[in-house]
Amino acid sequence: MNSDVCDFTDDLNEEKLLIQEKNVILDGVGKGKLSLTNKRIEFEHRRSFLSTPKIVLSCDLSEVFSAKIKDASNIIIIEALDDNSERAFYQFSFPESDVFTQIYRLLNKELRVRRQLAELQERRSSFQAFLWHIAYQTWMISGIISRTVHALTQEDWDEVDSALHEAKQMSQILSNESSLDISQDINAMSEAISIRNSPLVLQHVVTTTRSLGSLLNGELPFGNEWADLYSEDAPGLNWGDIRYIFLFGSWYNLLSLWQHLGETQKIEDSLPRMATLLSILAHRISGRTHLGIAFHDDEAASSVESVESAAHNLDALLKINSGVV
Amino acid sequence: MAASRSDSKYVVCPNRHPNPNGSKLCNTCGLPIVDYETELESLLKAWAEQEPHIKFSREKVFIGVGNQGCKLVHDLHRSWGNIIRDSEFLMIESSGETAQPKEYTLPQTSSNGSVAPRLSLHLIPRAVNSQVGYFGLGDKLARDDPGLDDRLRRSGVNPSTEKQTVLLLSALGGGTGSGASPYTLQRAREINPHSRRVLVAMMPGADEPDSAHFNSFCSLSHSLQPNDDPVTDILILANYDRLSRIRGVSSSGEELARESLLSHLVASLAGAVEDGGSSESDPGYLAKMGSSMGVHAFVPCLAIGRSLEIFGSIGNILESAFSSPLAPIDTESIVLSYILVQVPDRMASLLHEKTLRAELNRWNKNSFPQLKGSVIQMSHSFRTSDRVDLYLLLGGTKLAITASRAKEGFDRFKSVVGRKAWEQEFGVSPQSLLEIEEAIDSYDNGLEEMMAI
Repeated sequence: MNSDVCDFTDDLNEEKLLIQEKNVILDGVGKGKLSLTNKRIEFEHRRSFLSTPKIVLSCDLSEVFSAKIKDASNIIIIEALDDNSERAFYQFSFPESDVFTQIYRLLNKELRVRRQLAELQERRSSFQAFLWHIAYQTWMISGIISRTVHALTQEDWDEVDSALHEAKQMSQILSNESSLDISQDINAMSEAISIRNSPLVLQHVVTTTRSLGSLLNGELPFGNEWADLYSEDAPGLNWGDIRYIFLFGSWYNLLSLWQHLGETQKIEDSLPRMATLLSILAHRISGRTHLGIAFHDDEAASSVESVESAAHNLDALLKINSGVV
Repeated sequence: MAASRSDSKYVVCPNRHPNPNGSKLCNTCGLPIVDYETELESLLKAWAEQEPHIKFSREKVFIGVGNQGCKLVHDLHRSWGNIIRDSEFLMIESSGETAQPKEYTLPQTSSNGSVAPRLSLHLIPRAVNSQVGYFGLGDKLARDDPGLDDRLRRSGVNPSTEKQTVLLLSALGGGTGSGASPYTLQRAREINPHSRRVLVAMMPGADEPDSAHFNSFCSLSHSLQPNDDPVTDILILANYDRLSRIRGVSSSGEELARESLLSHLVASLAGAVEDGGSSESDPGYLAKMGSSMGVHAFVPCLAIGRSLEIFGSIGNILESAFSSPLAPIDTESIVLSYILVQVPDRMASLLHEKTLRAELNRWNKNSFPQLKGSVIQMSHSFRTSDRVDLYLLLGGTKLAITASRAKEGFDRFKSVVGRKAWEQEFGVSPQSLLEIEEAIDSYDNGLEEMMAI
């Protein structure tokens, strides 16, 4: 996801010369020409009148930490990484105060923009990680719900208990991290499980699925923290995309259950539905993640095998992007 | 956020491109347009439709408590498991091996490859080296078992099954059987108040020590409490000595004795027909009638595999069964009878149901002068022989008579256990002993009052 953001910021920042000044003295080097672009700061020095000018300092602005005026003089001290990637101080003396002031202002403005962009990029990355994490949790919960029903068909209450334990943990994480709160539904399901009432448990499976599905269809539930980043057209995973992951995951889990129950007609009927959801996911997620994990196209998704393969790919994608593996 | 906006003229695709309402594909990007809310509803409907796959109705739950009860249920499962559908078999025994409840399901494949009803074992935890030889200790063990309710629920005891019969088999001479059985039935009623509860109690032989009879008396008393609505709807008492004396013949011609006879009785009450066929057996009718009259304890009389050709008539087979009741009865006090007759289907033309019922009613009337109610149920088997199975349950005799040996043992043994110092040792207090006696007296007094009406 970082690369997306990089592309985004890079497009906005084609290199342009902002200011250039001769007769600037770089402490320890001598007099030369200072150039400031929106990308870097460079110092060109000529050893003697006849020698060829050489760039003795070229520092990417992203590697500049600060630019400060020294003791109300016409001297600017820049702290930046040197060629060895170590922090170093460069002292520039300017002959005229007008130029000095202009360069100082321009440099700090660029540094400020850089810092803001870096912060934005970091927040975007965090938001993306966050969305993938929710998508993964949602995917997992739909799987756990399916496991519960599958265990109910076999009256395997030990497995039901185990699935409930995981569902409680997942719902707790969802509630804490994303304000998607389905804990009431899970608690009600837990009550039904404790009295071993299968039909009641199934009812709560349905209500839990409804609650989660509705929450995913609502507004971004994270308060104002991410409000400035929330945009339908932002690159990467979108909040609205998680609904399709949830729907596909749930139908896929039903497909697995129907395979176990031998419900061939229901399987056939559900395949076009899953193909539709897969084509959306392929466009919205797989094509934009640049992780080399592709879903099958619509036609291929018309068989159980291809749906299983796509589900496997999606599972891997979710695990990678949510940081599970 | 919704993928479609029903209140507008437009729907949006997953890429947020607006499209005219009703569009299936986006005009801009070509992506499918999914109405999320409709799709979610379809998903929920699909989940809800799984109910038939997860709804297991256990109309009959067979529970064996204690060593002998477990053997009976194991035998019942082995012999009848494939015939009795919609049922569950559970064995409950105490175990000193672990302080925690242990539960597991035994392998269960039938000879024809079909899956037989489940047979599970639940071990009530007890401390290693501790004894559970007395009613009070068995009762306490069951009450202290945190896993008992869950095991009953897992075995299908559930309020969602309205027509459910819990049939508990137990020998009441030991501590676990006598102590845990009434409490298990009490829990079954708490969990499923709609359930009917039948206790098939094997009473200890006359030669067994007083402690065994003491246990059985205490257990009978707890099974019939509270007096106005006892935890046991039908209590079937069979003395071990009497059971040992009678014989039956199975459909395959094998001799049936002791536990096998009880298995046949319980299976037939549950509606099973050994050779296939149909049965209208439903102890629920008897339970309802018994409850309304305050009659809960019944003495069984069995005639299994009697040849109609040899006995000549159903009346004679009835007499044969009646000649060997499995516990003492007072004919003059019988107020309620239950007759279940299983006749071969091929003999239906010989034994017209109407005629048969008239004969059974006549016999009832002639045999029991105080009879106030009777339930006659028929079943038809596909057996090729002329053998008839007949099960008779007679209610109304006081427990002072039916459980006289138990009362004698109780009276003698209570002087030993009734001391304050022995409360821990035997698990009963002087007060509880008093209540045990009072409950039996109260049941008997209720019968007397009913007879007087």
